[in-house]
Amino acid sequence: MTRKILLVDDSTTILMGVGDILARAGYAVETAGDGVQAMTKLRGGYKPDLIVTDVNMPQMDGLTLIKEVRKAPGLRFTPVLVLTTESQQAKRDEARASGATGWIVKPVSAQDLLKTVGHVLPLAA
Amino acid sequence: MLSWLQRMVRWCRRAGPPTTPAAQAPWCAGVAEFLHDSAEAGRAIDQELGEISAFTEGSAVAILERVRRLDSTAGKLVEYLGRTEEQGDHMQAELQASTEVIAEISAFIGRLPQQMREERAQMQGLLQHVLGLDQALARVNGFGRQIHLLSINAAIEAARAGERGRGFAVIAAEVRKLSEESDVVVRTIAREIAEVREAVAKGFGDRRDEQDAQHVADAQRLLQSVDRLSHVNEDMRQFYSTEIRIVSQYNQMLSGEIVELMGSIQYQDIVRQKVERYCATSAALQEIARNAARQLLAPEPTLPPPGQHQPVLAAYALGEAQHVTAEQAAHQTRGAAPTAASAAPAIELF
Repeated sequence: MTRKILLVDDSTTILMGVGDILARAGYAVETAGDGVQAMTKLRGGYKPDLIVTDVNMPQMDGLTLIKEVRKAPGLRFTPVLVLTTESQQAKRDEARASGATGWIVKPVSAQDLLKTVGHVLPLAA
Repeated sequence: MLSWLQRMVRWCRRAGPPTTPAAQAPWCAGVAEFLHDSAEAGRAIDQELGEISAFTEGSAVAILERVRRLDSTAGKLVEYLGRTEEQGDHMQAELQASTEVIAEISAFIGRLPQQMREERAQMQGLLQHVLGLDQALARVNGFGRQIHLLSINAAIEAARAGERGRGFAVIAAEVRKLSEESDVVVRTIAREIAEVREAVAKGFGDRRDEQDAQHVADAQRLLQSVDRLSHVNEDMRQFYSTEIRIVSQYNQMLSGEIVELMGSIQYQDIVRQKVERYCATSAALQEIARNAARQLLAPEPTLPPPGQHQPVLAAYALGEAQHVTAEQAAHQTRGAAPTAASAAPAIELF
């Protein structure tokens, strides 16, 4: 069964580059430009096996998106990885408190990204 | 722009405002104009930076599209190599089957000389039987001549016997006729025996031996050529199989590099965010300069209070500290391990 990943970022190059890495590895990738677009898709019935989100985005940032996901029926235990340029511990702690499953600092190599995703996805079976 | 503003403020403080009302207005107007122009210059530079940031995004998208096409081409190359290897294996299997058939033919040709010798021996035996018939036929021919003579003598005696010998004369005539017919049959048989002898001599004579030996030698040379061709084909198959494996390995390495290249494009997002933070800070500093210009152009001009830029710069520094530095990004983009300057691990599962 093909695993589904929702990739959320306001950067076109991230959606294309990271999206291509994940798609090439065999995942079915959907993208959203910010938290609002992501929640629109999720409330529309799309149920990913994993969400990968940036933090700093217009309209709805990544940490707010995580909190919304954790409140949504059917999505409360969906793993969420944060993919961001932020590197400080305080923000990391805030993400953990919001319900994030993991934290990845950009730029991340394709190999490390896929290894991390591979660690997380079996948890969502 | 910030250093200009700082220098201007310090100069104003050292120089102090004009002491005479007549000098005050043009002085303030001049400084205000300078501050306004500086703010406008900063805004123009920020606009350029924004365009550059957008340009890098466009370039990164173009690079990613090319990388996608490159990846697609590499994928087709892998498929092509796979099909080529399959075809090569298929051809090798067909050649192996053909080689087995040729081996059977070779064994058959190897048995041919012995077989031909046996057949020739049989034909020689048959020829001997035919020669034996020839001798028997000669005796039959002799019997026929004697019977013919006897029939002539019988006809003579029948004539001497006159009327009483007439019946005997008829019998003698019939015997003579039988003798003549027998003679025809004997000649026919003799002619056919001669033809058989000639045919056997022609088919199994010494000249035929030479021809058979030549044909067998030709067939064996052909088999040797086919055998060499089979070896050459096997060598070629192994060569191409090795080449295909090596090319496939390089293609996999290429595929891995393509994937990492896709990841390296993340630098553009880091640059974009840095430019955005810088432009926001620059806009705040420009607003400070415009406010200072407005103060100087007020009916009662005053100098701007000191230190307005400090919280703006502090916020900028804090923002930069919270994000990956250029050095860290360049290091990670090159695929090296995180530097010691990293505050926390780059990847963490909670």
